Amino acid sequence: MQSVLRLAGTMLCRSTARPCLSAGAALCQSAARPSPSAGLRTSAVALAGPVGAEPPLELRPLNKDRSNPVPVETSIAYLQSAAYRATYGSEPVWRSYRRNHKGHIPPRKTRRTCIRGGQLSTGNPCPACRDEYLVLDYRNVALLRQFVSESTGEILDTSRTGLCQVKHRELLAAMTKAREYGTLAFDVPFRVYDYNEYKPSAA
Amino acid sequence: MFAGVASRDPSLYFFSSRVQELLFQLNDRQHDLVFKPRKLGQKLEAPQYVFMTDEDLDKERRRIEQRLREKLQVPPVLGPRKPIERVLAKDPRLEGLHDSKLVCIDISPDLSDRKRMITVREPDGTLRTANWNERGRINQIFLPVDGRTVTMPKMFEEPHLTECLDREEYVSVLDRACVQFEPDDPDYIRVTSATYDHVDAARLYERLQSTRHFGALAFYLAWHRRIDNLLLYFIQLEKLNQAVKLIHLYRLLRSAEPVSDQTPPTRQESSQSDGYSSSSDSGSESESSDSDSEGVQLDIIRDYIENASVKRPVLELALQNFQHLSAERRRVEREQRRADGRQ
Repeated sequence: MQSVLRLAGTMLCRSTARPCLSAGAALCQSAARPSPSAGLRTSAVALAGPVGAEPPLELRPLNKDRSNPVPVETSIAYLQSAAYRATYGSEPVWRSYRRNHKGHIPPRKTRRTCIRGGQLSTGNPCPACRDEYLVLDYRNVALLRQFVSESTGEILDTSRTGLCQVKHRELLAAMTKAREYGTLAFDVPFRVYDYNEYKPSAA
Repeated sequence: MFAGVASRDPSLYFFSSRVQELLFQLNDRQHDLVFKPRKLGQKLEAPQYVFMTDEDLDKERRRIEQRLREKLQVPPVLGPRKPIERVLAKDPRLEGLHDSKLVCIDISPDLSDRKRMITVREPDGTLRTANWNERGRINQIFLPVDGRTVTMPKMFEEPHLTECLDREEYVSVLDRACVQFEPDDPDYIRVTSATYDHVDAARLYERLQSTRHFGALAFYLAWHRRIDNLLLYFIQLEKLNQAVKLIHLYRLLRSAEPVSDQTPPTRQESSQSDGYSSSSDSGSESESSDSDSEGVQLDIIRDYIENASVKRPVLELALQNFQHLSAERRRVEREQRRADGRQ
């Protein structure tokens, strides 16, 4: 446990060996913690909470295995859990992510994928790949809403979200399905009717 | 449902200017909600601040009123459409020439989509006009409408439709139904009826207030003679104007003669309603403006409650509560004025 915590302390944004909050403990009812401003940087002290409170959320080592996809129901429950709140707070999951690249202008496209051979194969994986409990599915509305612009209703581009191309395409597919099944409400153009086309022919 | 062989055709009543005016007046017409911007992926512009003279301001106000009417245009209420297929020619010698149907469409841009020529040549050589289903799909392929899909979205099928309604996304469902379907499509009638029933059962009328769908909801309820819940809602909110207008709409739609624009409002109209005899006084005064006195309004409402309502005790209780409240208010105002006068 100590070595994992030390790792978290020394390596900040560029760390791949980031300890994650255990989802198993996440689904237990802990008291709501104020979210740390840096999003993903959590410390055992912040997580411990006041003495005599519910059992604290556990830190567990990073899991790079993505060969067993998480069911969407688990992901939906995760987004309501204390572990999610402690990790991301009330901000979208992509807010605290920063891409690594040479120079100050990022490449136009993000990387193609973070997962190869069923394992995380990159340093600094994208926001959807690094947390295996974030499943982009048409039923997971709480997650999908984070990738839609508040003001214009557009799906956010990878230049803002930092998603890898494969995950971005999964997002687009999930959004199309969400609109098809009506799980995500969205605006349609206003239809103007010409009443003359529908009036009954004069009797 | 508006279906049925012997049932009346709502389109004979819907387009009358008096019904249209009632539907417009029943709406709250809050400008903030009517002009709420739709998020359609467009680039947002900064608001403009303009200096105006009084004349400019009047002109702008008239323009806003005009735009309000456009935004609150009620989707047409029609009965379900009748089949439109007919065989134009039979050519048995063409059998075996093609193994699939061929569809021909006239894509002239100045034609109405409902009147466009669309024909189908079957593999057995029959040439016929396309049925409504085929017409909808082919029109959407060649002359696409923004926001419409070629096939019906699964959102309008069960169980997804019920799930959307349980999440109370009424306006979203109705807006999309308006874009997707024609008003006489049986699917459109099914979806809108299910939505209005759900709104009525949950009493969530304010979700549709200040939208174009409130008029359609009021028409639906009045047509099916189920205005009691909505009437109760208006009375509890002390909107007697709207309550009276709803009763007028109910009476108009119940009259045996379809309402036409030519005949002026007369006393005969109210007496024609079968099984619902109202006093001739309230019949003639019913068409006057909002400035009806409260007493007259209460008379009209009480008349409806006694003669035609289903939920009589609940409505009577609500009316009594309203009268007590307004009497209390008047008493408090009188005492306040007396106290102010003394000072």
